[in-house]
Amino acid sequence: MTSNAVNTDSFLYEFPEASSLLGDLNANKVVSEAVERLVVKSWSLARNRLKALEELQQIQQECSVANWDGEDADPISSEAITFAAEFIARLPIDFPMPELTASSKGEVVLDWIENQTRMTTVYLKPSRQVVFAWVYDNESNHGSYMYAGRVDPRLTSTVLQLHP
Amino acid sequence: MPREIVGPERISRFLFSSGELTRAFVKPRAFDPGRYNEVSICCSEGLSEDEIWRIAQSVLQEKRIHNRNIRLHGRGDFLASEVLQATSQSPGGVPIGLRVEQDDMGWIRHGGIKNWPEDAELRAWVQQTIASKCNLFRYQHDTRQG
Repeated sequence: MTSNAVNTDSFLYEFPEASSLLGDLNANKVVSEAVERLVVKSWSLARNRLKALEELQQIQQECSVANWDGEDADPISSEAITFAAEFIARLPIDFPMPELTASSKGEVVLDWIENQTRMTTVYLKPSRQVVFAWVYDNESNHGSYMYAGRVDPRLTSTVLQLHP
Repeated sequence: MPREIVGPERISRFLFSSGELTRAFVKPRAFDPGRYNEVSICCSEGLSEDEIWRIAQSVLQEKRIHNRNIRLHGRGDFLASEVLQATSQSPGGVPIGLRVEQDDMGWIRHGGIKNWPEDAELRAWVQQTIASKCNLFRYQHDTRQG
């Protein structure tokens, strides 16, 4: 398996029949293939997830060249896209789906925004480090961890509390 | 010589990417310090709406020389003093020391949010905190931008 290959143990874990097909895809095909599989196999359960993966596909198209933002941003890498697809697929099935963007450092950025004082942002680095920060009225905090196939419970509980 | 801004002066951050805003709010992504470790701003205190948008338009034209797809989507306004106070110390007690400066580099009223922390978590938190203090003004591109 190449370094760009999807971790089939964690990717689309709710849909084993789909995840078994993903192991040998290269990184550039991951998102479109995943979207296709989701449509065919599980679209009624994964509508929100599908939307997030489509946004990811759009990010891949729009942000894969240097200076895509006019401020010398790094291009989004296939590693970052692969990691983000895996991370999104790993979110609990009933989890609110985030809005997706890219950062100037080639990270995929996930935003859950209720309003100006209630938001959570996650930065998915190509190195598989997950950095997050949230603000809730007058409280705020931050954290990070190395992704190893699981979404940190601190993060899931924060998102579920702030974005029910 | 840059002028450090610490008082309750209005600062505007122009938003040139759709990923920097929602329908009603400015996203933390709008305050990504990027590879130069600085967020470009307009020191807009005392300017009229038209004057601010005119500056934004001229900045847009400069950016379009390098990337034709860039559009002006809006701006996020905040008070320098409010952001400096809110970001002065992290939730864990780490002093941040952000600075807001007007330097007129490239264009009059240009400035920067500078002295960002190195730590990725702290940067994320600072971006989040600044966004939470921002008011969004959308650009009426149908009539102004074409």
